[in-house]
Amino acid sequence: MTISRRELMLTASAAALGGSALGEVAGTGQRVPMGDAPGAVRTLNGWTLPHTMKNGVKEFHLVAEEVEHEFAPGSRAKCWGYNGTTPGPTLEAMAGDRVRILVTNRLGEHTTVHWHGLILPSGMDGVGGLSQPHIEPGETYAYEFTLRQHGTHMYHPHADEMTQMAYGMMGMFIIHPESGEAPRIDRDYCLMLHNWALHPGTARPDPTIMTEFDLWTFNSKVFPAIDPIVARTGERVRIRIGNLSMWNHPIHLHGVEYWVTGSDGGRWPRSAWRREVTEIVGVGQARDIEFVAVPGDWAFHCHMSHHTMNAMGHGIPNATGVDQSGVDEKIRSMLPGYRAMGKNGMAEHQTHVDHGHHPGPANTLAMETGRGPHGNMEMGGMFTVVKVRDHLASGDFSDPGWYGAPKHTIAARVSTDPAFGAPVRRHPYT
Amino acid sequence: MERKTHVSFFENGWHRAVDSARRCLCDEARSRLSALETEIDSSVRFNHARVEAARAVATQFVKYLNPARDLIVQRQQQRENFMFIGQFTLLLAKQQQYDAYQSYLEAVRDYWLARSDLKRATGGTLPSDVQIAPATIGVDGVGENR
Repeated sequence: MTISRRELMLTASAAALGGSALGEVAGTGQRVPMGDAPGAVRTLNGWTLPHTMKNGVKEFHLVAEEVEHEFAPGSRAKCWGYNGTTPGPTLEAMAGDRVRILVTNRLGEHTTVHWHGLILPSGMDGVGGLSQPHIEPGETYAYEFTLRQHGTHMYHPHADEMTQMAYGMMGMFIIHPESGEAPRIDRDYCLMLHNWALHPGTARPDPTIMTEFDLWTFNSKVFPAIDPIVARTGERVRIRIGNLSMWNHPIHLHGVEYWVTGSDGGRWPRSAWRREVTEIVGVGQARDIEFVAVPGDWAFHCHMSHHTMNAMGHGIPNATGVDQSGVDEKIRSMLPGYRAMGKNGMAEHQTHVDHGHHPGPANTLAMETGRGPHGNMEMGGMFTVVKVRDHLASGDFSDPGWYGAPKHTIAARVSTDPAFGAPVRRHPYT
Repeated sequence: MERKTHVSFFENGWHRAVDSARRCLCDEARSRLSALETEIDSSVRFNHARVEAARAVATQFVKYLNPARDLIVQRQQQRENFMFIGQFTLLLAKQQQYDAYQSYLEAVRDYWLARSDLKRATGGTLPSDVQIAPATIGVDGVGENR
């Protein structure tokens, strides 16, 4: 008996990984894990939607609805999503599959779902008013088509699109090649880039904001609430990245030169792969990066530095270099809670906040956060850590903690005297 | 022999004139009294209305505007703590809080001026004089944490 890659994906690890997202063993009616199975994609902080087989058709059921969402402890909001989450669950299937996707609308307004980048009949493309009537509240529509490609794809509304996406309606649609892949992928992650205007002290994103956003997320989470990307030394890791935010994001990984190997157009021919350390994922684009894991804790983040922060004001007065000592006391006589900041940069902010000196607005995250083994990380937003360890069980995605780097491989202090050594320094005006 | 004759015609006319004059004076007094009553009544009503209006204005400050200004400063301080706004915006909120309390003090002043005029108009004490503290508007709390 031969087992196809499709069957392998459906059946593997059912016992070991019970209780996670369920798919169905072809022809049996038995539901088995998809999201954690070998070869299946793992959605950071997310999940894969189970399906059922009906007469050879993989049937998924999406529910568009308002959801409660936590960006990180300390910040929750009423968002919109699918099946209880934002992003919605990942849809996962094989090239060649016939899929039927039921979409029930539990919103207060109409919606549709556009299958971003999929090759399908025009009437299944999900553009409200153009390719189909809108799905009115309470209605369920069925989309049905055959998957004619593989790759990293997305789904999102194409009705009141700006609003519905701003509230978090989006998800990933991963299509695996039927014939398998070489070289083989050991750990396959996917994440969606997004931005949110969740104003300080509020609990519902503001869809009227076009450019100045407060939160930048991987799968609708901000650091430090984003799951780490875990791998064993030597494993081949793929990270699939989709961007349905309103900015382009240069995604940077420390520690390796990765290959950019694919996109919405599937895994590219090997001749088209290229080595990068930062890849821009444009709005509406998807990119796959692959690397062979090397041990350590490696930062993985958008390189727009304000995208690795949580909410912060735009255009506030620049205090760097300003001696506020006298002014500070005068202001405190009127405002006892006032504390001058920023004379030497903003790093002190996290210390003040972490120590409770600076209470902020309700339901609002501090701009810099996170503490690592060596101190404050002063990050937020689109930042997580690739954690590679020598000894990890296959299928173990749990956080292994901080990397215990050999002491001689850690940068270390050699002096506390600013006049130390004889470095060459230039003086521009002399 | 001299004989005096009473000429009743003139005597009768004089008495009538005196009566008439007295009646006029009385009428005039009544009119003045009535006018004074009207004026006092009007003045009391007017000053009572001033007191009530001033009380309403001052109460609005106490119940709504001052707490709102306090809250705005508190919220702006939180925003400044998280660097959503700069210190100048925070100071502007503080200035607006001071302005609100200045307006509140003026409203309390207007209340007491109106109450004083009302008291003068009534020519005596006001019912609220018995328990003046709880029955009138004061400025307790102004300056606390501000």
